Amino acid sequence: MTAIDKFLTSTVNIWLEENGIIYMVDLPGAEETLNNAIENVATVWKASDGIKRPVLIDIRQLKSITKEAREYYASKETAQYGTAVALLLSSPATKVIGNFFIKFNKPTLPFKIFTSENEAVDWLKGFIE
Amino acid sequence: MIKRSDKDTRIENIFDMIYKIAEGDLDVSLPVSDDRDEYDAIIIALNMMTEELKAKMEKRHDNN
Repeated sequence: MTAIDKFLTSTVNIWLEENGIIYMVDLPGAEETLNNAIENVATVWKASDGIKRPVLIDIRQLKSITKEAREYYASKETAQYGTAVALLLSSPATKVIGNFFIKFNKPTLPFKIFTSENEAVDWLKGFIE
Repeated sequence: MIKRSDKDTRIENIFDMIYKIAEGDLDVSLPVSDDRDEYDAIIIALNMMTEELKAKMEKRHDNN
């Protein structure tokens, strides 16, 4: 599968795959703040070509994320830029981040946690408009 | 003499943080290592918990 345009921010790589899904992959050791989250959501929209798309967020390399950044990702404001979010994680540390996000931040968009990229992509395909 | 391992130190740091939270200190936090192991999972949970508790207490204080 060929990636189209790749966008690099301070904390993530973002691109639109040919399958219509936006990938947002944390850089190794990423520590996300509110400013990073705002930059990343704006870049997701840029990569989306103005069309709401499902988003796969790969946090397997994420080290930490602030409360303000979690709240921004879960907000109604960011919901206008996507159709659903699959969170891809692996380690016990990233599982804690994912579970905290669901329990405390209550994301606005349809949201599900995965440890398998293939399963995440299969689920997201149901949200391509 | 028994040499203290990194594991012992990390557990000790985690308990120190728990004691401080119990005393009402919600400004405490611990650094996360690059290992992303079970200890980091506990540290991340504690860091996030203190953030959430602090925000809730500040909100409650503002409402009173």
